[in-house]
Amino acid sequence: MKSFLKIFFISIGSLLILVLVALSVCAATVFSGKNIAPLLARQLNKQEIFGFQLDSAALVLWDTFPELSLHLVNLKITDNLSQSMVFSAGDVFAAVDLKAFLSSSNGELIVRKVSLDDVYADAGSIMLCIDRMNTGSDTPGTDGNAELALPFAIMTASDVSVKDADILYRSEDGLDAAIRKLSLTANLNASGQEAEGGFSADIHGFTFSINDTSYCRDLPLHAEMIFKSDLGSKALNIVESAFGFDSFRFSLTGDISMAEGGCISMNLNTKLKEWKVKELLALVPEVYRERIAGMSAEGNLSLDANAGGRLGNGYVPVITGKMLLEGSSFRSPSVPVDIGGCGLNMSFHADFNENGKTCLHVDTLYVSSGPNRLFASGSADDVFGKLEFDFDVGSCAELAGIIPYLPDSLGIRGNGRVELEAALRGNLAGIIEKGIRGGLDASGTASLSGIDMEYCDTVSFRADAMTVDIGMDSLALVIADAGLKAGNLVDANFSRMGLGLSLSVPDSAKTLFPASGTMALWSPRLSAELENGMIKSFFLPESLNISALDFSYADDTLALSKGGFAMGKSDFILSGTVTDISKAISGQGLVNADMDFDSEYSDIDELLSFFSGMGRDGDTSDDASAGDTATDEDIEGNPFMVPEGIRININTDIKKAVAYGNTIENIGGRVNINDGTAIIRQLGFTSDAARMQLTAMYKSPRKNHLFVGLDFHLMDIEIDKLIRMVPKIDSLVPMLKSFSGQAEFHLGLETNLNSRYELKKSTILGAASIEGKNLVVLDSDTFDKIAKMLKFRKSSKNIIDSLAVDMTVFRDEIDVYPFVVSMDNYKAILSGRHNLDMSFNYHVDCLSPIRLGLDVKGTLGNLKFGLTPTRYKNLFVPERRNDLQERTMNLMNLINSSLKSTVVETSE
Amino acid sequence: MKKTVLIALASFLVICITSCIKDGEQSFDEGLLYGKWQSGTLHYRYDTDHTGVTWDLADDVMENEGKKFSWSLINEEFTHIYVTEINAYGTKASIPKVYTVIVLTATRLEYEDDFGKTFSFTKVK
Repeated sequence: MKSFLKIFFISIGSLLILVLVALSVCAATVFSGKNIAPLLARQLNKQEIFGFQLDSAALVLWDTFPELSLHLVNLKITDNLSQSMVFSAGDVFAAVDLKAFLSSSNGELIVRKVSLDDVYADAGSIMLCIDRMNTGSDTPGTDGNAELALPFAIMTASDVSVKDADILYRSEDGLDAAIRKLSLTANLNASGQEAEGGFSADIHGFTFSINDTSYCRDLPLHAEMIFKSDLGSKALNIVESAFGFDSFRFSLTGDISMAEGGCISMNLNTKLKEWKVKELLALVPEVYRERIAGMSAEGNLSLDANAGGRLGNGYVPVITGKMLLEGSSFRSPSVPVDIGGCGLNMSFHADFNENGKTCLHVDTLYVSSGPNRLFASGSADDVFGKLEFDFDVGSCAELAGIIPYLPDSLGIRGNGRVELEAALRGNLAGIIEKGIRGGLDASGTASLSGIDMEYCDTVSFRADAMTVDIGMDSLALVIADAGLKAGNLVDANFSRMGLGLSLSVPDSAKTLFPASGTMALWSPRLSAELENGMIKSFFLPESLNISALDFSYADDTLALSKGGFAMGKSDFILSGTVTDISKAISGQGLVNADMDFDSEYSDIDELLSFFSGMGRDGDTSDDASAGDTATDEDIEGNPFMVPEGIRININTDIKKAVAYGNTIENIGGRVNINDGTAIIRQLGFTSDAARMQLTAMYKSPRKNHLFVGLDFHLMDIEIDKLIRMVPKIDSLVPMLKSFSGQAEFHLGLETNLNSRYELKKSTILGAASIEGKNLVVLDSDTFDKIAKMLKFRKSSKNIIDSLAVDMTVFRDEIDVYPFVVSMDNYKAILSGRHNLDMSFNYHVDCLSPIRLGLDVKGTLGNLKFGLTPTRYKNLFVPERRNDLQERTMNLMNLINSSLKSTVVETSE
Repeated sequence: MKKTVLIALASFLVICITSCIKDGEQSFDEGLLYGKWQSGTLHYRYDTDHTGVTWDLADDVMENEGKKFSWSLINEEFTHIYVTEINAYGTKASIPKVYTVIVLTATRLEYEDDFGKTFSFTKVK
C-alpha cells in the first residue's frame, strides 16, 4: 500500500513537475517577448469578417513584471469581403498592471500605456463590417438602451496615445470625411459605473464633403477635454474642454446625460473669444464663395452661450448667451454702403419648445460709414411669435455721405448734417391684426443743420437749422433761416417756420393709408407759424412779404389766426376760417371760407394789375351749351373763371386805399366767392370825393359768356370827381360834365361780356339815379349857346337849385326820365333818350317864363330843334297828371326806390 | 218792337264797351303773344305766366342765358319790366320798358316806344 501510495504520489508529483515545467516553458515562451504573431493571427482569423495580419506580436511579462504588455508591429486588418484594408497600425503597444489586477479583489485593471502609431482607419468600412458581424451572430443586438458595462470593475488607463492616425469615412449617401494625422493622448480612470479621464487630440487636416461638394478642406482641428462619467446614469460631466479649428478656439463645459423617454438632458456652456471675422470668412466653403465675392469684413467675435434642457422627443435645449462683436468693418459690392465701423453687444434667449419664447436684448449696436453713424439698443421679445420690440435708435449723418448712395436718377445733391433719435415700440402681431396704428408706437427727433440741397439742378433748399419731432400721431417741424428756390416758380425765404401736426387715428384704422375719407378718419390737427417770409414767383409781379403767418387745422376747419402780408405798396392782414375741406375733397360739398381782410393801405390799381390775368392758364373749356356763333376771336380770350367748389366770404376793412387815382378811406364790406360767382357785397368806403357803396357780381358760366353786375352808390360826391372815377358815366349822362357841385349817384347795372371782356350790348341792363343841389353849370360852348338862345341874364349865376335824374339802360338805349332844371328865370322839365352811339332825342318842357315844348334831336355836332306840345308839364303836380304823366311818375318811382333801397345808412 | 229792343240792347253794349276803352286805344289778344318771336338775331319769348326771355344770337347768347322779364299787355300798352340779377339787401333794380302795340297777329308783332322807335317781329314756329 505504501509503495502504491509512494508510486502514486511520485507519479502525481512527476506529472505536476512536468506540468509546471511545461507551463514554465510555455509562459517563458509566451511572456518573454518572443514573436507570437502567427499564433495570434491564427486565433484572430477564426472569425470571417476581418482578416488580420501581423509582422510581429510580443507579449512580455517577465521583463516588465508586474506589467503585462503587448506589442504589435504592422498590424493590418482587411475586410474579408472586399479585401480592402480597413485598419492598419505600424506600432501598437499596450501595457497593464497584472499584479494589481490579480491581487485586486474587485478586478481593478490598470492600463499603464496604450499607444498606436502610424494608424490608418477606414471608419465607414469598419462600421459596415461590424454591422455584418452583428447581423450574422446570435448575439442579441445592442440598442441604445442597453446598459453599458466595462469588463472590469475598475479600469485605469493612464497613458493612451495615438500618433499619425489617418481616418476615413465614406457613406453610401455621398458623405465623405477624412481625418489626417490625428494625434491623441488620453487617460481614463474607471471604477464601477464611474469613470473620469481626459484626452487631447490634434488633427492636422479635416476634410468634409457631401456629394463631391467640399465644405471643408484640410482644416486643422484641436480638441481637449477633461471629463467625468457615470455609466450607470449614462451621464457625462465635461469638466473642462477646449476645441478649435484653424485658429479658432472655444471651450465647452457642462453635463450631458440620458433622460427619460430616450431624451438627452444637457447643460452645456461654451465660450469663444475674439474670433477674427476676416478669418472666418476665409473658411466659407468654396461652394458659397461666389456669394461673398469681393466682400471683406473685419472684427472680433466673442460668444458666451449655454444650452440647457432636453433634446429629443420634440424637445430642444434652451440656448442663452451673450455675443460681442467689436472693431468690425464690412464692405461688399452688393451693399452700397461701406461699413467702416460696426459693433454689437447683445444677449439672447432662444427657446424653440412649445410655449417657449426667443428674446434678444441689444445693449449696443453701432454702425458707421464715413461720417455717418447709427446707434441702436433695445430688446425684442417672442421673436418668432408676437415679436414685441422696444428699440432706441440714434443716428448722425452727413447728407453728403448719404446722397451718393441714392439713385442718380433722383438728381439730389446737397450738404448738411442730420442727427436722429428715435424710439420704436410695438409688436408684429398687433401690426398684423390692427395695422401699424394698433401695433407700433414710434417717435423720434431729427435735427438738421447747415442744410443746402438741390434737386435736379432746379429746386434748391437751404436751412440753417431744422428740427423735426415725429410721433405716431404727431409731427412738429421747426425751420430757421431757410430758403426754397424752384426756378422762377418760387423763391422763398423765411427766418422761422414752425409746423405741428397731430393725428387721432382710431384703432379701427387697419392701414396707414386708407383708400378714402383719410382726413376724416385721421382727424388731423395742424398748426403752422411763419415769420419774416418772402416769396417771389413768376405769377407774382412783386415779391410777397409775410411778416407773420399763423394758422391751424382741426376738425375739418382751417383757422388763420393771423396772416400779415405786404405786396408792392399794399399791406394786408388776413384772418378767418375755412371749413368743410374734406367734404369738398370728397366732392360732397363746397369749401367754406370766412375771412377778414384788414389793411392799413392798399393800392387797388397796383393790386389789380398784379392779379390781372391770374387763373387764365389751364382754364376750363367752354360750356357745352355755348352757341355755335362763338367766333374764333371770342375763343382767343381767356378770361378769369371764378373757382367752383368753394364758398368764400371776405370781410374787408381797409383804412386807406388808392383806386383809379383816388384816395379812398375806410373801405368796409364783404367779398363773396360762391361756387363760380364772385360778389363784392355792400362794400362801403369814403374818399375825398364821396361816400361810396358797392355791390358787384362776377360770374363765369362759360368763357364767352361772363356776367358783371354792379350796385353802386356814391353819396356826396363831387361831380367832376365822379366823372373821373367812373368815366363811363360821361357817356351815360353827357350833361354831367357841364355841372360842378355835390351830387348823389345810384347805379344798378349788369351785362354779359365775351371772353375778351367786351360788352354784349344786347345784354346791358341797368338803372341810375343822380341827385344834386346847388349845382353850378360850368361855362361851355353848349351852355353859352343855350344861354344866348334863352337870353340868360349875364349877371345871374349859372346855378341849378336841384337836379334829380332817373334813367334806365337797356341795350344801347339810355332813357332819361323827366327831371326839373331851374336856372335864371327858366324852369324846364327835361327827358329823352340817349343812345350809346351818342345820338339823342330829348324833349324839353319849358315851364317858365313861357310854356312850350321843345324837341332836341341829333348829335352834339348836329343839333336839331323843334317846337312841340308840352308833355310833362303837370308831372310834378299830382292832382293834374294825365295818364302818361301818371305812368311816367310810377315808373320813375319804381326805378328810384329800387335803386336807393340798397343803400346802407352809415352812422357818422 | 222786338227788333227795336235788340237794337237798343246792342247799342247799350257798344256804348258800355267803348266807354271802357280810352280814346284812340286798341286792345289786343295777349294769347297771340305766347311763344317765340324773332327779329333778325334778336329773340323774345312770352310765356303764359307773363314772364319772358329775350336773347340775341349775335352776341352769342342762348335762350337759356337770355334776360328775363315780366310783361303785361293792357289794351295797346305793352310793358316789359326787367329786374337786375344782382341782389343787394334783397332788392333789385327795376328797369321798365313801355311800348305801344301796333300790330299783333298770330305771325306778326309790331310795337313802338315813346320815342317813335318801332320793333317788328315774326312768330317763330
